[in-house]
Amino acid sequence: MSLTNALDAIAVVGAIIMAGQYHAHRATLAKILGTIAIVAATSNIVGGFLITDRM
Amino acid sequence: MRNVLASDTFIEITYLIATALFILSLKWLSSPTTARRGVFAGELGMLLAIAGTLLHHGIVEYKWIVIGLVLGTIIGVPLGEVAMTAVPQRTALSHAFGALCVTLVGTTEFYLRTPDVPRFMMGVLSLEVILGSLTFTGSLMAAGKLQEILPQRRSRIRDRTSSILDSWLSRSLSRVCW
Repeated sequence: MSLTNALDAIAVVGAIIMAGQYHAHRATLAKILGTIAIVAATSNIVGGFLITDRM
Repeated sequence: MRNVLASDTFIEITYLIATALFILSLKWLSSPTTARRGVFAGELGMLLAIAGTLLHHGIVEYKWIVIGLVLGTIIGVPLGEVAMTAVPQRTALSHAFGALCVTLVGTTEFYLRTPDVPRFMMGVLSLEVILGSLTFTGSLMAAGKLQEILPQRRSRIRDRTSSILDSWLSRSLSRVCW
Protein backbone atom coordinates (compact mmCIF):
# COMPACT_ATOMS: atom_id res chain seq x y z
CA MET A 1 0.00 0.00 0.00
CA SER A 2 2.74 2.44 0.92
CA LEU A 3 4.68 1.42 -2.19
CA THR A 4 1.73 2.17 -4.45
CA ASN A 5 1.56 5.54 -2.66
CA ALA A 6 5.20 6.09 -3.53
CA LEU A 7 4.72 5.07 -7.18
CA ASP A 8 1.62 7.25 -7.37
CA ALA A 9 3.92 10.19 -6.68
CA ILE A 10 5.14 9.92 -10.28
CA ALA A 11 2.94 13.00 -10.69
CA VAL A 12 6.04 14.80 -9.38
CA VAL A 13 7.23 14.75 -12.99
CA GLY A 14 4.39 17.10 -13.96
CA ALA A 15 5.06 19.25 -10.91
CA ILE A 16 8.77 19.56 -11.77
CA ILE A 17 7.88 20.76 -15.26
CA MET A 18 5.44 23.33 -13.80
CA ALA A 19 8.00 24.70 -11.36
CA GLY A 20 11.02 24.69 -13.66
CA GLN A 21 9.61 25.55 -17.08
CA TYR A 22 10.05 28.94 -18.67
CA HIS A 23 6.79 30.88 -18.52
CA ALA A 24 6.39 34.03 -20.56
CA HIS A 25 3.62 35.22 -18.26
CA ARG A 26 1.79 34.10 -15.08
CA ALA A 27 5.09 32.65 -13.89
CA THR A 28 4.86 33.40 -10.16
CA LEU A 29 1.68 31.55 -9.30
CA ALA A 30 2.62 28.63 -11.58
CA LYS A 31 5.95 28.27 -9.77
CA ILE A 32 4.35 28.51 -6.31
CA LEU A 33 1.73 25.86 -7.12
CA GLY A 34 4.33 23.66 -8.84
CA THR A 35 6.62 23.86 -5.82
CA ILE A 36 3.83 22.93 -3.39
CA ALA A 37 3.00 19.99 -5.67
CA ILE A 38 6.67 18.89 -5.65
CA VAL A 39 6.73 19.05 -1.83
CA ALA A 40 3.55 16.94 -1.56
CA ALA A 41 4.75 14.31 -4.04
CA THR A 42 8.31 14.10 -2.72
CA SER A 43 7.06 13.51 0.82
CA ASN A 44 5.15 10.52 -0.60
CA ILE A 45 8.15 9.18 -2.47
CA VAL A 46 10.49 9.44 0.53
CA GLY A 47 7.94 8.34 3.14
CA GLY A 48 6.47 5.59 0.99
CA PHE A 49 9.77 3.93 0.15
CA LEU A 50 11.11 4.31 3.71
CA ILE A 51 8.08 2.61 5.23
CA THR A 52 7.94 -0.16 2.60
CA ASP A 53 11.62 -0.84 3.25
CA ARG A 54 10.92 -1.34 6.96
CA MET A 55 8.19 -3.92 6.41
CA MET B 1 26.79 15.26 -24.39
CA ARG B 2 24.28 17.66 -22.89
CA ASN B 3 22.42 17.64 -26.20
CA VAL B 4 22.20 13.87 -26.27
CA LEU B 5 21.00 13.77 -22.66
CA ALA B 6 18.39 16.45 -23.20
CA SER B 7 17.00 14.98 -26.41
CA ASP B 8 13.38 13.91 -26.37
CA THR B 9 14.23 10.36 -27.42
CA PHE B 10 16.58 9.91 -24.49
CA ILE B 11 13.96 11.20 -22.03
CA GLU B 12 11.29 8.97 -23.54
CA ILE B 13 13.56 5.94 -23.20
CA THR B 14 14.13 6.89 -19.54
CA TYR B 15 10.35 7.08 -18.99
CA LEU B 16 9.86 3.74 -20.76
CA ILE B 17 12.42 2.02 -18.53
CA ALA B 18 10.89 3.67 -15.44
CA THR B 19 7.42 2.42 -16.42
CA ALA B 20 8.73 -1.11 -16.94
CA LEU B 21 10.46 -0.96 -13.54
CA PHE B 22 7.20 0.17 -11.86
CA ILE B 23 5.29 -2.75 -13.36
CA LEU B 24 8.01 -5.20 -12.32
CA SER B 25 8.10 -3.58 -8.89
CA LEU B 26 4.38 -4.22 -8.32
CA LYS B 27 4.70 -7.77 -9.62
CA TRP B 28 7.73 -8.58 -7.44
CA LEU B 29 6.08 -7.05 -4.40
CA SER B 30 3.33 -9.67 -4.46
CA SER B 31 5.68 -12.38 -3.20
CA PRO B 32 7.73 -12.20 0.04
CA THR B 33 10.80 -13.74 -1.62
CA THR B 34 11.04 -11.02 -4.27
CA ALA B 35 9.56 -8.09 -2.28
CA ARG B 36 12.95 -6.47 -1.57
CA ARG B 37 13.77 -6.53 -5.25
CA GLY B 38 10.36 -4.96 -5.89
CA VAL B 39 11.05 -2.00 -3.59
CA PHE B 40 14.46 -1.52 -5.20
CA ALA B 41 12.97 -1.58 -8.71
CA GLY B 42 10.41 1.03 -7.64
CA GLU B 43 13.12 3.29 -6.21
CA LEU B 44 15.26 2.95 -9.33
CA GLY B 45 12.26 3.66 -11.58
CA MET B 46 11.36 6.80 -9.63
CA LEU B 47 14.99 8.00 -9.70
CA LEU B 48 15.13 7.49 -13.49
CA ALA B 49 11.83 9.30 -14.05
CA ILE B 50 12.91 12.32 -11.96
CA ALA B 51 16.41 12.43 -13.48
CA GLY B 52 14.95 12.20 -16.99
CA THR B 53 12.58 15.09 -16.27
CA LEU B 54 15.32 17.26 -14.77
CA LEU B 55 17.33 16.85 -18.00
CA HIS B 56 14.37 18.06 -20.07
CA HIS B 57 15.43 21.06 -22.16
CA GLY B 58 12.24 22.93 -21.16
CA ILE B 59 13.43 23.13 -17.56
CA VAL B 60 15.26 26.41 -17.18
CA GLU B 61 15.14 27.08 -13.47
CA TYR B 62 16.13 24.58 -10.80
CA LYS B 63 15.86 26.72 -7.68
CA TRP B 64 12.22 25.96 -6.85
CA ILE B 65 12.57 22.33 -7.85
CA VAL B 66 15.43 21.86 -5.40
CA ILE B 67 13.54 23.72 -2.64
CA GLY B 68 10.50 21.49 -3.27
CA LEU B 69 12.52 18.28 -3.25
CA VAL B 70 14.33 19.23 -0.04
CA LEU B 71 11.15 20.32 1.80
CA GLY B 72 9.36 17.18 0.63
CA THR B 73 12.18 15.01 1.95
CA ILE B 74 12.08 16.81 5.30
CA ILE B 75 8.33 16.07 5.57
CA GLY B 76 8.65 12.58 4.10
CA VAL B 77 11.26 11.16 6.47
CA PRO B 78 9.11 11.38 9.65
CA LEU B 79 6.14 10.06 7.62
CA GLY B 80 8.27 7.03 6.77
CA GLU B 81 9.14 6.41 10.41
CA VAL B 82 5.70 6.30 12.03
CA ALA B 83 4.78 3.35 14.23
CA MET B 84 3.37 0.35 12.36
CA THR B 85 0.03 0.86 14.14
CA ALA B 86 -0.22 4.34 12.59
CA VAL B 87 0.22 3.08 9.02
CA PRO B 88 -3.51 3.33 8.10
CA GLN B 89 -3.71 7.07 8.81
CA ARG B 90 -0.27 7.56 7.29
CA THR B 91 -1.53 5.93 4.09
CA ALA B 92 -4.63 8.12 4.08
CA LEU B 93 -2.52 11.25 4.59
CA SER B 94 -0.21 10.13 1.83
CA HIS B 95 -3.19 9.65 -0.49
CA ALA B 96 -4.19 13.22 0.32
CA PHE B 97 -0.71 14.54 -0.57
CA GLY B 98 -0.66 12.59 -3.84
CA ALA B 99 -4.08 13.97 -4.74
CA LEU B 100 -2.98 17.51 -3.79
CA CYS B 101 -0.06 17.21 -6.20
CA VAL B 102 -2.30 16.02 -9.05
CA THR B 103 -4.89 18.75 -8.37
CA LEU B 104 -2.26 21.50 -8.32
CA VAL B 105 -0.61 20.24 -11.52
CA GLY B 106 -4.02 20.20 -13.24
CA THR B 107 -4.94 23.66 -11.95
CA THR B 108 -1.58 25.13 -12.99
CA GLU B 109 -1.81 23.60 -16.46
CA PHE B 110 -5.23 25.21 -16.88
CA TYR B 111 -4.04 28.54 -15.46
CA LEU B 112 -1.08 28.66 -17.86
CA ARG B 113 -3.11 27.73 -20.96
CA THR B 114 -6.35 29.59 -20.33
CA PRO B 115 -8.20 30.94 -22.31
CA ASP B 116 -7.05 28.74 -25.23
CA VAL B 117 -7.53 25.30 -23.74
CA PRO B 118 -8.38 22.65 -26.36
CA ARG B 119 -11.70 20.96 -25.67
CA PHE B 120 -10.27 17.49 -25.05
CA MET B 121 -7.60 18.81 -22.71
CA MET B 122 -10.22 20.82 -20.85
CA GLY B 123 -12.18 17.61 -20.24
CA VAL B 124 -9.12 15.75 -19.02
CA LEU B 125 -8.03 18.63 -16.77
CA SER B 126 -11.54 18.95 -15.30
CA LEU B 127 -11.63 15.25 -14.44
CA GLU B 128 -8.14 15.47 -12.99
CA VAL B 129 -9.00 18.41 -10.76
CA ILE B 130 -12.44 17.06 -9.73
CA LEU B 131 -11.12 13.61 -8.81
CA GLY B 132 -7.95 15.04 -7.31
CA SER B 133 -9.71 17.47 -4.99
CA LEU B 134 -12.31 14.83 -4.08
CA THR B 135 -9.51 12.44 -3.09
CA PHE B 136 -7.65 15.21 -1.27
CA THR B 137 -10.49 16.23 1.03
CA GLY B 138 -11.83 12.68 1.38
CA SER B 139 -8.44 11.28 2.37
CA LEU B 140 -7.87 14.12 4.83
CA MET B 141 -11.22 13.24 6.46
CA ALA B 142 -10.26 9.56 6.56
CA ALA B 143 -6.85 10.34 8.08
CA GLY B 144 -8.45 12.60 10.68
CA LYS B 145 -10.96 9.95 11.67
CA LEU B 146 -8.35 7.18 11.88
CA GLN B 147 -6.15 9.41 14.03
CA GLU B 148 -9.27 10.22 16.07
CA ILE B 149 -8.84 13.96 15.59
CA LEU B 150 -12.23 14.09 13.85
CA PRO B 151 -15.46 12.65 15.28
CA GLN B 152 -16.21 9.09 14.16
CA ARG B 153 -19.83 9.77 13.23
CA ARG B 154 -20.87 10.58 9.70
CA SER B 155 -20.04 14.18 8.86
CA ARG B 156 -22.02 16.33 6.53
CA ILE B 157 -21.72 19.86 5.35
CA ARG B 158 -23.74 22.09 7.66
CA ASP B 159 -27.31 22.73 6.57
CA ARG B 160 -26.70 26.44 6.29
CA THR B 161 -23.75 25.98 3.93
CA SER B 162 -25.65 23.49 1.82
CA SER B 163 -28.68 25.77 1.51
CA ILE B 164 -26.42 28.63 0.39
CA LEU B 165 -24.83 26.23 -2.10
CA ASP B 166 -28.29 25.10 -3.21
CA SER B 167 -29.57 28.58 -3.88
CA TRP B 168 -26.34 29.55 -5.61
CA LEU B 169 -26.50 26.45 -7.81
CA SER B 170 -30.15 26.94 -8.73
CA ARG B 171 -29.52 30.60 -9.53
CA SER B 172 -26.52 29.77 -11.77
CA LEU B 173 -28.44 26.95 -13.42
CA SER B 174 -31.45 29.15 -14.17
CA ARG B 175 -29.11 31.75 -15.63
CA VAL B 176 -27.60 29.11 -17.92
CA CYS B 177 -31.02 27.76 -18.90
CA TRP B 178 -32.62 31.11 -19.70
